[in-house]
Amino acid sequence: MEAIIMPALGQTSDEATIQEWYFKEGDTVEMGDPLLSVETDKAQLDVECVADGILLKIVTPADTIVTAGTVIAYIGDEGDVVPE
Amino acid sequence: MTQEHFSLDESLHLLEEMVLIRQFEQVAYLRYLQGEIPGTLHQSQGQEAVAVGVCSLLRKEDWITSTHRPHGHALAKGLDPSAGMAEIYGRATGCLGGRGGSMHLGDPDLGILPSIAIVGGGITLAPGIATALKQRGTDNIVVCFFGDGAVNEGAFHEGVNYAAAFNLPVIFVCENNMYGASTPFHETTRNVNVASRGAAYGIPSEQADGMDIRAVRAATQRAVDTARSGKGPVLLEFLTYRYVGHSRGDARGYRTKEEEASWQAKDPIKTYGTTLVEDGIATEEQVKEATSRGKKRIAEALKYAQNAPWPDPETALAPNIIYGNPPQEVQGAGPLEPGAEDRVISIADAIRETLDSELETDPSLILLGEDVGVPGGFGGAFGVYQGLAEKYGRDRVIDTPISEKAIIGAAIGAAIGGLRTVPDLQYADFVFEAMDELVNEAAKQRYMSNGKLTIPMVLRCPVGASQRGAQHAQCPESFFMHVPGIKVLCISDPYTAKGALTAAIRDDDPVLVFEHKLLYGAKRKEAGSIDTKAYVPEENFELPVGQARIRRRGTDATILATFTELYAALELAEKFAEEGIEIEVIDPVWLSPFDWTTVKDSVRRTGRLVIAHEAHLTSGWGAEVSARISDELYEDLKAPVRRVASRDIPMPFSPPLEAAVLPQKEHIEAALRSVLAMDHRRVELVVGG
Repeated sequence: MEAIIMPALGQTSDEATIQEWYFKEGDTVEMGDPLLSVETDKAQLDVECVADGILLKIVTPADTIVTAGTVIAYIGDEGDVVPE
Repeated sequence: MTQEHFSLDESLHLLEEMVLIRQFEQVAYLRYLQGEIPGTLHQSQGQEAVAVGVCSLLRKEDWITSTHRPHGHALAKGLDPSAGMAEIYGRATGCLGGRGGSMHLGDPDLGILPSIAIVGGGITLAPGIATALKQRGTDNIVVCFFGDGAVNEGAFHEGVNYAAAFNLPVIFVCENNMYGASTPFHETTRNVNVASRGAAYGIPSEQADGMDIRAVRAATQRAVDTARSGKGPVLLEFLTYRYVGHSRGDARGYRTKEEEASWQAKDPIKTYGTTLVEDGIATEEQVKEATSRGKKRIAEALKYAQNAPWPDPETALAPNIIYGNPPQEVQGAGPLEPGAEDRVISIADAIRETLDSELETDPSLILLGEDVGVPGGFGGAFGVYQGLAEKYGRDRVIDTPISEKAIIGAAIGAAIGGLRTVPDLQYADFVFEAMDELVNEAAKQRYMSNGKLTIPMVLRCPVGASQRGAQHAQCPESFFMHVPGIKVLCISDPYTAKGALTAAIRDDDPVLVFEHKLLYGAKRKEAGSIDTKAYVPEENFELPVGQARIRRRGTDATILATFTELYAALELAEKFAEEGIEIEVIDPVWLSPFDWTTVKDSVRRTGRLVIAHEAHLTSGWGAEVSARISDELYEDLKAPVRRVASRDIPMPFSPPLEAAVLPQKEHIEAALRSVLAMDHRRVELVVGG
């Protein structure tokens, strides 16, 4: 299982607003899938999934403002226990 | 053009290799965004057909040089993806132990030069590696990758012309992806057809579709056949496209979505997989299997890199990684000894004898430079090489084009390829033409290669003002004392010339040798020449690298001097002796490694130091010595360290003006008298009671 962090995508700011998650918890995801869309200071863009597995938990739901480096989700195998 | 297909196995292999590179780049990109990879990345998604198409036709013994965008080239030439991924993660088990990183990926054992992140930098080295491969009697070749941006570098002109002039086995491969960082190629040149530039150098060239691996292979096969069969270099241009930005953080605002989509429609991996199925070469299942094999290898590489250990910080300083022969502590040599009168010779003769004897005993040694071996020509600047070409042949005493970047680049490349090389400059002032080759390549390739490469090159540079104006006068030795990885030798007498030059030639590291025009004692007499003839044994011998020479022993003050100032100091020492004052005169000989032991021992004894050199005062080598001695021998010094040097002014032509800029004997005398008049330690003792 791995913690997925918010990448630094903005040109002038480290903050981004999550607009939409394209998957829900329990869905199978693949590396390269667009996972969620975010809005930065400059643009709206998709964050690609970094690994294959199951989307175990969405930590920061849509409409949350997150800073680069924040854990936004966990991806792993069935049965992995997500830390609280 | 209809391209032929390869066997099933080969087709699937090519596909798998392209997938491997694409997946390596994609995984690295996503992991970089996750904060796992330090620094930055320059990636090649979209350009895979060029890397795989070209490198699949190479042998392990062939070499490639690459660029700041090297991942695909290195993987295609056989780099283990785990070692590559661990390297860009900065880990100890990366292919270069973490010393190179993404922009310098390589492995000399696989014929992959640690890639060169200076645009066009590889284009002057590749002919040198090819010289070594050819000289050693192989039919191995060099492929030199670069982008469209590099063809407007001076290195392109000098390197391609050099390879053409000597019929060297180099394939110059331009990956034209239409942008140099964000600037469109067509805005930077009137001639966007890179292949057409081959005609300017009289070499075959070809442009092909870089998105089609079969077109890449067909063009490369023709080029390989030409280069391997001794017919000389070829220029290939592949039209391709990088899907991603120049580096991380490039949002590609300078390109349209339509343009990107039009190139993605020609994706080299997708189109090749489809073609294999449509043309009945492979089944869909086989294409899928090849794809998942490529991806699986990268999944393993990622796991390997993530779990690889960080390098031990202590190893950053490992001397044997910086130098093939790390500096050793040495004992300073004593005054020159007299000897048989018929062996009292000039510096020019000592250098010629040294080179003659080394050429005779070491068949891997070559000399190269302007006007060194042409029959009836100059015999090198100041005639030092006269007779050597006749004796050893013009393929070992090589007359080059007037292309300092190419001369020195070729000398470095040939040294990497297994030869020992002695390039020379007619005047040291020309060294600035090749600062990139010296500072970015000669000094750094061993370190970047994690100690795998040695670069046994000795560059000879005549220095000093001799009534030729500002551009044939400089003493640039201090510049190179500032560059770790380069050794700096200053020759001021014939005995040291033979012993130190022999050691330099046999040393495994790049050495810059500075020789003063007024000290050569060559047939061509210069105004103001100084007779430096001294006894030199006939046989070559080695003096320790980094050894200073105490030319005269004394007790009251130390003077450290090179070249003409050394001789002024020796004369002054005799004058002071008549007054009962004994001056110790030291020639440092090597500025790097510097003989701190000998100089410090002397200053501890005398308590006074004057430094005299023709290099400019400000940031001249004396500044470093003064700072170190003042800092480390503060309690031993009876007076401040004084420096005498050229004024900080370009060297004028007219003799009276030139004399006004150069350090004169009376300046050195005044400096010596001023330190001799002081003993602040005694004053302190009196004041302190």
